[in-house]
Amino acid sequence: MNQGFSVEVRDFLHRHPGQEQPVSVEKLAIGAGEKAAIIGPSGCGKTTLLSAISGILVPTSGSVIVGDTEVSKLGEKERRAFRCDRIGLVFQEFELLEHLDIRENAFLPRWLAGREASKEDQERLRERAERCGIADLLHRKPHALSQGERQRAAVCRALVTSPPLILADEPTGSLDQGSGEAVLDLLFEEAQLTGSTVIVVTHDRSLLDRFDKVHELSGREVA
Amino acid sequence: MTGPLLKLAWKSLMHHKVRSFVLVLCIGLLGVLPLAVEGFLQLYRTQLESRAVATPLVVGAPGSRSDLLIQSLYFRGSVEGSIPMRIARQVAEAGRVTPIPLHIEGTVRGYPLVGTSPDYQKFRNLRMATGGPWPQRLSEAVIGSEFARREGLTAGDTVPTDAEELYDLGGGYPLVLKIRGVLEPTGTPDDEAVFVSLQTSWVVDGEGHGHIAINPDVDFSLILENKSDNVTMNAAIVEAVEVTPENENSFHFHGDPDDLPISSLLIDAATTKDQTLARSNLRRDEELLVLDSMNELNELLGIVLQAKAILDANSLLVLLAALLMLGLIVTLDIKVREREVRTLERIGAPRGFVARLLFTEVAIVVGSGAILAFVTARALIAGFAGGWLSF
Repeated sequence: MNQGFSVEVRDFLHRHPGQEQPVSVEKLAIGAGEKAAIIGPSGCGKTTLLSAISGILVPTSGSVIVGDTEVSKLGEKERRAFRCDRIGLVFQEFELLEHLDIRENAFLPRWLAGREASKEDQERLRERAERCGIADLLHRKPHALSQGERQRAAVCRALVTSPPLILADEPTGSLDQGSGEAVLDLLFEEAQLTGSTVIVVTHDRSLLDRFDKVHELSGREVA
Repeated sequence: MTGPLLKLAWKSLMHHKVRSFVLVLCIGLLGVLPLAVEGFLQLYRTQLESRAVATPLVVGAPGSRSDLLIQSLYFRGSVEGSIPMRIARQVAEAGRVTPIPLHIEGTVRGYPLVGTSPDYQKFRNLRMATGGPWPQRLSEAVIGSEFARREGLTAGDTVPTDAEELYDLGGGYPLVLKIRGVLEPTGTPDDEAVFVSLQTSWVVDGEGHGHIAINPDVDFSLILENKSDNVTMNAAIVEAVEVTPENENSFHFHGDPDDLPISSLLIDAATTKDQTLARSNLRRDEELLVLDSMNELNELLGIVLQAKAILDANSLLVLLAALLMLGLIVTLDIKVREREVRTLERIGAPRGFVARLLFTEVAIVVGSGAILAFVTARALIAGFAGGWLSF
């Protein structure tokens, strides 16, 4: 079993160019192995916060600490390597490349890190694909899949490196209730099996009961 | 990083097969013309030069130097004047070199009819593929391999020379040639020529003629004059003259044989010294034009290369326009692939990766187009490499 990463955000402030209202989070703390939801109205900065945790962007001020690493202090190259190796990302729009099949999409983070998929990676993909119910779809291109299958493929890509931290930005936003539940099941099952920490940005309040912790971006912790 | 970069670029190009194929095809087509022109020019140059090197000295009547060179070496075009056969005799009598007279006047199915002496065969090292020997008798011919192939002729066949002036009743008649042999391919203009004796070429040119026995069944209205020793008929009586054992002896030439015309004289010298002496002697005669083939050819090629420079400039402009178009396509492509670019960046593509990815895709397309252009140009050139490039 994997040791999940704790996440700590302090005095976070990020100002997007041309945006008057900055995104600010005074404090956010998520323990290792916890399942946390981040909620809040549209435009309040949920995706910005998730991007800062994953190292896609660096906040204007404040600190973002993932495990023992202060991500906000890392250089671009280190943040990218950290993201590729240690974080599994799931997006609302799936973000699958249309010209790659599902297997290739799953190994894309590996390729971007300059590595070929190892035998171990192949085995892990096969196992995750079976768990996600897409083992028979690995050689298909995304356009040949349904919405639900695409999101399961995107989840499979996020899980294939057994990341200690899984970040999902509205993973159920494009799916019907059943498919959304199924995707969440997959993420939680991974957390259960590997001890990964799961942080999900969501609008769907009906799902909140399933999380250990819910953080509203106004700064108020609701559960 | 190169491996994944190439893999992703290739996958993307393959995903948009039609677009990629059209781009490669466009670049390929753009490249074919300049590459093929360059290749053909190189091939032309090599072939022209090898012929000029093998024929260092050419003598003809004063007039256009390039016309004389092109007709004497490559059997194309015509020359303004002729020189008398006497020159050939004088050169032969002076010794040291062998004069090879050429009389190039008529055509056979559009191919040049070359009247020459048997020395020409030795001079050009021509070998018979079938039949032989070199034509010595009136109306006999040996033909080049390419002419034989294209016209489906072989030893034993007959073929008439082309009528020069169809409505000139006073002109010479086509002469039926008996093909005695076909030459082996040489990759030179000899492959497309019909070789006959000088006498045969003079008959075709109207310098000599024979008398034909009249069929008793002929329409008497065609008789123009009836004398006790000779009957003169209207020209409509025959379509072509055929030399037969019965009429062969009636063929004759009026006037001094030394005055019979030849188009040019090739000089076969065993040594450079012999060649220099022959050139020096011939240049003393102001009625003659004496050419150093390589010098003349280089002057001609200089003109061709000037024309090529214009073509090169044009190709460069077209290439520039194509590159600008390609730049525009890439720019539009980035817009279309905005989402893909965002995905790569979010998943962990390093700084500059997307730019390198696009550059790799462009490089593959341009590289493939260049290979296509090169291969097509080579294939086009190779199709002609084995034979003489007709021009």
